[in-house]
Formats: sequence, C-alpha cells, structure tokens
Amino acid sequence: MIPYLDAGFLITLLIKTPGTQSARETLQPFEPPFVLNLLHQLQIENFLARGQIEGTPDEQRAARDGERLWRHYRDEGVFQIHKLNWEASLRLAIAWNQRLPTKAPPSPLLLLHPALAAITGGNVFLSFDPRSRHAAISAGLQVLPGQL
Amino acid sequence: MNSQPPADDHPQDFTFFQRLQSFQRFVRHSQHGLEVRAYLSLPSKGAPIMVEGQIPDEILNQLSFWETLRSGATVSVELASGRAGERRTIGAVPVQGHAIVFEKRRVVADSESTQSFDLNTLMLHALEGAFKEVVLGETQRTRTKKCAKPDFFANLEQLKHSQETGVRMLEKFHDSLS
Repeated sequence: MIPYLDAGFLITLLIKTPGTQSARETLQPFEPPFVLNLLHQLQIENFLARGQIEGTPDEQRAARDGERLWRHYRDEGVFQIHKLNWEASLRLAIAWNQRLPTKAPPSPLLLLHPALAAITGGNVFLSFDPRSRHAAISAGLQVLPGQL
Repeated sequence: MNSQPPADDHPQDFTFFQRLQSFQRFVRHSQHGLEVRAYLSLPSKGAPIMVEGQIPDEILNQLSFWETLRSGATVSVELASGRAGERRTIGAVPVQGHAIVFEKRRVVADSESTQSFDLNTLMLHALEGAFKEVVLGETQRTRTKKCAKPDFFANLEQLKHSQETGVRMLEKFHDSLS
C-alpha cells in the first residue's frame, strides 16, 4: 500500500483545520517517509508564501507555522521529494481528461495529482477533494479517507 | 541461550527512517560530552571537508552546484570526547556503487536509486560500520519502543492559530485550483 497525498491533504497536515485530525489518523497506518514530488513542493510553498504576504494577520501567522512544519518534516525526512516521469503523468492526465465519465472534467491540477499517483505506483490516494477523489476512483485507485 | 538480538533488531535491518531516528537519538545522546563530526573526502578537493549539521558556506563556495561523490570518495565520522579532548574515528566508509549528489545545503539524491539523502543520512552511511557497537546499546534499551509508530504530526497540537483561520486559507487554496 503506497500512499499518495494530494496537496490539499498535505496542507491539512501543516495548517490546523477541522480535517487535520482525520488526516493524521488516515496517515497513521502508513510508514514514512512519505514521497512527494515537485508539484507538491511548488503548491505548498506557493500557498505558504501567499499566506504570509496576502493573508490577514491570523493567516500570516498560520502560514509561518505551516512553513516551519514543512521545513521540519522535510529536514527530518518525513516528507521526501522524489523525481518522477512528468511526461507520462501529464499524458495520463490528458487521457483521463478525455475519458472521465463526468459532464465536465475537473481542473488540470485536480486531474494531475491522481495521475501522478498512478504513475508513481501509489495505490492509495489521500484527498479531501471530491473532484480529485472522483478522478482517482475512476482510475482504480483506493481513496482515503473512505468517507468525507 | 542466544545472547544475540533477533535479526530484526539489527540496526542494518532497520528501515531508513528507523535508522535515522536511532541516529538522531545517538546524536542527542552524544551531545552530553561527545561530539560527532562528519568528514567528506572528495578526491577532487584534496583534504577532507568537515561538516557539522549543515554544510557551511565556505564549503559551498568550493562546490559546483552539483558536486558528486562517486565511488572511491570516503565519508568518515569522528567521535570526540569533549572532556579529554581525545578523538578517534569510529566509522569510515567508501562511497560505493552509487553517487551522492549535493544540491546546495542538502545531500539530495542517490543517482542509482530512489533513496534521498540529507546530511544526517550521509553521516549515517558513515556510521554504518560502527553503528552496531556505538548504537546497539541504546537500541536495545529502546527495543520495546522501536515498534511503536511515532506520531510525526503530533506537534500540530502546538499550532496557535484557530481552525477557522485554517479553513479560510484552505478555501482560498481550493478556489485557486478551480
């Protein structure tokens, strides 16, 4: 069982939200290190930078807290960023974009994370976003948490 | 009665992460009167480079952006007694079969595997040979704890911001995806 965390799930491990406890419990059965990729890094660091610059004072503080955790978990090796085959991942997302049995496909990033999960051998997709979860289920991935 | 620990207690059979945790325990333990320093011997650079914690700027300035430790380079770790001022090398291993690549402050990749390395891991490699004698005592004392899965995210409890703040931020993030 290889978990793949989407960016929203990852954020709930860095910023306190109502889903944070659920995210921790969902991740608990899996062995670290948790493999991430450069898209995760870009999304997380962009989110945290924007929060520190554009956010309200509360949001700025939360973003600073989140950044400290992000650096800590990377330094500790809990999160590790690996290389992957971007060409194949993007082609898979494009194929799903054409085939998903929905009226309108979700936005590209919401397709790309499930595709990255499939390409990297992840078979459990961890996400709170119904749009990405739907794409992952359509691709045959197990989705956690089981219920939203 | 076999006094040897079971095979799965052998440090070299630990997962990468368990070994890293053991190493960190060892470093913390060593802070009480002992120092641990890693020396990187780069064939192209001559004298061994000492690194402690992070790779210092003056060394970074000597390295190209991608500096590679190929087979034949060695990594050694010296254990020093703060009280007596005595030093002895406790581990020295050649880098074999793979190349360890520096990216600025982090040792990030092994070119022939999917394993990522940071400096602790590099030092851990150097400690492999001495790992049993140095750390095994500590490992045996913590054997019962070893199977307990640490909750890496427990320090989320320390976050001071409210859930409402987090929700607002997450909503902005989700909006940015649409």
